[in-house]
Amino acid sequence: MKLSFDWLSEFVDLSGLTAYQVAEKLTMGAFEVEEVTIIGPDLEGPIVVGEIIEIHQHPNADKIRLTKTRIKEGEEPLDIVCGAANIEVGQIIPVALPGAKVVNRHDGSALLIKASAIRGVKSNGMLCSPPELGIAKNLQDPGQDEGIWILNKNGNRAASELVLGSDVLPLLPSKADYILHVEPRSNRGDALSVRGLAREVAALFGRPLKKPDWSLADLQKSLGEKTPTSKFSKAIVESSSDCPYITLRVMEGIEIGPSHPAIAARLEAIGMRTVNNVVDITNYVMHELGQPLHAYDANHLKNDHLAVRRATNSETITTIDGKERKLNNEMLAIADDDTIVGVAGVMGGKDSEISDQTTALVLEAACFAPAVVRRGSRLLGLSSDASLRFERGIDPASVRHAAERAAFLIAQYCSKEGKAVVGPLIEAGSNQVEPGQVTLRSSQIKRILGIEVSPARIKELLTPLGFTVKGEGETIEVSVPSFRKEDVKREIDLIEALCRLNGYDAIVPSMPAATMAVARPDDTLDLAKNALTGMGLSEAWLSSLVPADQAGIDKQLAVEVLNPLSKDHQLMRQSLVPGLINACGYNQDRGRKDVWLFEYGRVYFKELQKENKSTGVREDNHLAGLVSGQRFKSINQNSPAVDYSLAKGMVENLLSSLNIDERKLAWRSITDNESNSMPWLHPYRTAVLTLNRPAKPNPNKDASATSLFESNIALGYVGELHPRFADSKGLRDKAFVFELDIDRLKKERKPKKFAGIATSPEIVRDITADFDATDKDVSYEQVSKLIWKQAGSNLRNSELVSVYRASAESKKYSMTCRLTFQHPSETLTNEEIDKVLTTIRESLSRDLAASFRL
Amino acid sequence: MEAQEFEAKITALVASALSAIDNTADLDSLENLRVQYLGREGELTIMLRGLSTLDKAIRPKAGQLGNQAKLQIEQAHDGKRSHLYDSTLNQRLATEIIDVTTPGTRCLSGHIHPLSQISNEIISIFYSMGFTVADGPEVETDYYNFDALNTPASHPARDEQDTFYTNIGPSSLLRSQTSTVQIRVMENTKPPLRIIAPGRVYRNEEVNARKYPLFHQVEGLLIDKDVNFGQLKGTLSAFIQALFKKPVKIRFRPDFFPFTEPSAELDSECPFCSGKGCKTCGGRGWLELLGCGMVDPNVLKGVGIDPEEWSGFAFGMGLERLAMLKYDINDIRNFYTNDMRFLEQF
Ligand SMILES: [Zn+2]
Repeated sequence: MKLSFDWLSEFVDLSGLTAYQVAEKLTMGAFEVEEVTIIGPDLEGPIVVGEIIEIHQHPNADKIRLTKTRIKEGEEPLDIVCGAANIEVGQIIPVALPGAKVVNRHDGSALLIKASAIRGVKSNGMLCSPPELGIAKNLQDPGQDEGIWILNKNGNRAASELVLGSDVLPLLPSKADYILHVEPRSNRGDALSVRGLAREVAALFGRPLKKPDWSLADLQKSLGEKTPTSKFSKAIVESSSDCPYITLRVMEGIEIGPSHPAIAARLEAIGMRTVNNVVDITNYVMHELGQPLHAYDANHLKNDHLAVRRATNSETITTIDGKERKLNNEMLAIADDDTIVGVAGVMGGKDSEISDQTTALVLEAACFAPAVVRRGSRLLGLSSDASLRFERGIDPASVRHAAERAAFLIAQYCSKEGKAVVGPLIEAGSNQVEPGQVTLRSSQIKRILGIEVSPARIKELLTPLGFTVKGEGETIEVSVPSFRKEDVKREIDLIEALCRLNGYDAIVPSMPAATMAVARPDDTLDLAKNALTGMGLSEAWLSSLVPADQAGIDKQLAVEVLNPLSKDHQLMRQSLVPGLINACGYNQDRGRKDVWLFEYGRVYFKELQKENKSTGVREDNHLAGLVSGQRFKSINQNSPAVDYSLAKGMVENLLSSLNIDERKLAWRSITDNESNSMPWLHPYRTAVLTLNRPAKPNPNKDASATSLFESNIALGYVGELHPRFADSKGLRDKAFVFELDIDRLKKERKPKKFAGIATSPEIVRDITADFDATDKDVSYEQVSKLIWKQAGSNLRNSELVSVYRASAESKKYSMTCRLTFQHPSETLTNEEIDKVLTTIRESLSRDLAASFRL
Repeated sequence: MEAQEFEAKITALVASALSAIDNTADLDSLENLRVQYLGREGELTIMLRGLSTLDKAIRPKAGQLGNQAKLQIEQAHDGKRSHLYDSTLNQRLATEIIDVTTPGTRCLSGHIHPLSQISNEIISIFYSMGFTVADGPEVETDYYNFDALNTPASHPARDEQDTFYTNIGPSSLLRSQTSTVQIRVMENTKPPLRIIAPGRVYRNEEVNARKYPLFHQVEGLLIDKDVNFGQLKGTLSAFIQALFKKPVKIRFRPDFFPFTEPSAELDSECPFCSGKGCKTCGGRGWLELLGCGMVDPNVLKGVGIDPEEWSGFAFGMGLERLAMLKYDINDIRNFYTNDMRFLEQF
């Protein structure tokens, strides 16, 4: 909200304070001032109200005239030379006297007024045009553009303001002013007004609030206390929970025109568009007091009442912005029987808006329920300054004051020939608010804030905000003003207010006492990241919101955003790898050849059977990587390209750095179903890593779901990118990817423990097995698993040393494994080893159809 | 054999050996000479073996001569050998000249993402103050994201955080703040508590240089007996000094959050203009670093903790914001584009 420093000074004594001091204090009092801007001209008095008594032609110039202008009743008029064409005898005009500072209307610079001679004729001041007083042109009567500002034109000026010799500056809209841009507070509807912020400023500086200097009753007296001729007399409220309180008031004898410059300028200063004198006053009062108001053209209302009721689903309204809007039962409407004239608290209707023809109006000031205004505003996609305030809550007890203030200003500034008729207040509902009572314990202040605040100080701080404070000792009774009832209900709310008003700086920093036991952090992630960066992969952070057509999404398990920002952010990802592939493409497109990336992040699967207390979504932490390009950079030789073997080796290194017993794991080829579910994977160059045990049936899955990670023993995969997928993403080079379920992997880590270094001799034997794929396709993993199973406890290591195939097409191949045997303390004999080797050969022949050359 | 005769013979042998050694040009011939004279069947070895057949009277003298001869030949051999080794090696070294200033063979070097780095730094600072890391789901329910955080459906703040809703159910949403973890921890763990919860959050905001529909926060919570606002100030001041590794001028500015009361925004003096006001700080001279406050009694009651017995403070900060400040990054999208030219600068 934009707050005018000058406007604020009408409510609180700011003498001796600068706008910047006030801004700083507000900021440190929870109402952050984001910016202070300066507006308006740099004017200085004396600039006074004068009357043109005589006009004579200048003896030496055609276009310049000589006036006699009176600036004090009963005194001789002054000789003032004037070049404007629009002056006439009897006009009341602003006169800048010697010593005054006004605006040079040609270039906006400061113009200092001196007594001087103009073409031989003495001039004792200057009659001022609006630009010379800093009034923007759009505020003026267009006819006056080049002329002197005629203060008594249009009957808009109250006679009392136009006392000759009185200071023009207070009447002027555009004294230099400071605009404080205050961030609105969602819980402080009461502070969305000049008066509300004035209370805060008064409390923060310990300054008194000023009493209002206007009275509607007095004004009515001076207007003759006439009653309206209109039959309009009632407000009807359907539900007091939707609308606890409403006031209406008929006003007649109204003339629509431009606003009084003081009102227009204030609105413009805070960035509000001016419309006409009546609408501007409703906005003015809303900013001043925080109460939104609406004025209806009384001649466009058919009945003698307005009703506040829910709209029906078939009703429509054309709002002031010219748009036709469909209404429904969730919205609160202001109805002239079956004609909707406004959406309560949001916007009025076009048909009954104030126009140039308006001569009578009905002024509405009400209190609508925040929730229903909020709902209406959301449903219509329409938010206004009024809805902003209603949503934050309007104090019913303050409505009448605002209604009177608006009526006062309308009667004063929108009266046709000074003959405005102010009707009586029409009310419905109740504006009575039970005062809130909160008990404050001194001990709690100390407990929560760590400092003591004396009862006297509490009183000093809270009283300017409208609180009444009673009590001296531990227990202090505080009664809460109606406009703070919503946000101050509890002791802690008062403690907050005290803390803020007393200043956060007054609280001495200290450190919390007891420290509790320090939990062991899990180092899995750190170790994994160290391993991967050590191998040359850089860490990526990818979006977990992915496009609706993302590859490899298991639709059945998809978490979908219902109100996505765009189609690119519609689903929650189920794999990290597609994102890495995109990042690879992004980098390759920018000329980068070697792309080595990894990511640690979450994937999301809908739970088909929601477990108790679950959010309905399984969130797993995955670790994935992508490598593409050369193995290393060197000038001396052609560096070999990254291949499947390197990628798998990286994963194996990673497992080793996490101290995972590889014998608990198993590698196998990816199945067709699995590679279909992850279309970025090469069907024949992808290995799946699982736990070395049978899978349990998964209750969260039906047979058709194929996502690899749905199996409860799946740990991940490593593979080459499918050429079709790589082509579709425009990749320029082969890429290899891996993805691991780090949560599951973590469970397989074993504690580090030194097993000693055996000094007994090692016996190394090679075993070469021949296979024929036409008979049975056997993988190394199968051979290795069988060797370990049959070798007994003395096998220390089994290593694949060669795979031989006569040609790439050959179905026959052989594998040589080098086995290292060692007993922890004894020396093994050749006979023992031969026996073990025989057992291994036998089972390889039996189970895997291996043959052996002798 | 007479002594003179033996002496003459041995002198001749030594002379021939020394001359041969001296004339040798390579290590292999030198080794052959060593075998020829000093080997098991070498000439000197055989001659010395013959000493036993000599007259007892001349044996000592002959033995002495023999040993002297052996020493002489050995010395000559060793000297020649070391000379030949050095000269051969020098020849080889001369063929091994390379330009030692050419770049080395390099594997790629891996870099940790700046958001990870700053997150780790924050965690380790709080870890040293006795906080432990907690975690929670990103796909949350409105209960944890709003209601339990004292933000009922009617609260205006609920609209301000443009929330993403999901197909999981009417109450399912993507969490808009990591404060959800506070509630989950307090539901399951009895105080005293000190936790820190880093994580990803989502808000439905148009993408621009400052905003992205997902970003990251670190949430902290401390619950104990008699925790007060002064301790909040002390703890977070210590944290900021540790994070920036130098004295930073900070201030606690009042603010409102639904789940803390009193609430504050911790500002640091803008490092780019030293508080004078610039574009980065929007002319304010201060930069918001984190939000914090005393946990609202309603939040404690909601999870079954008696606010009369326990009190505490909570705080939350945006990782991107801190990283952008710390590393002078001007566009938030850099964090998620994963351009290697960006990643490799950290
Ligand atoms: Zn700055």
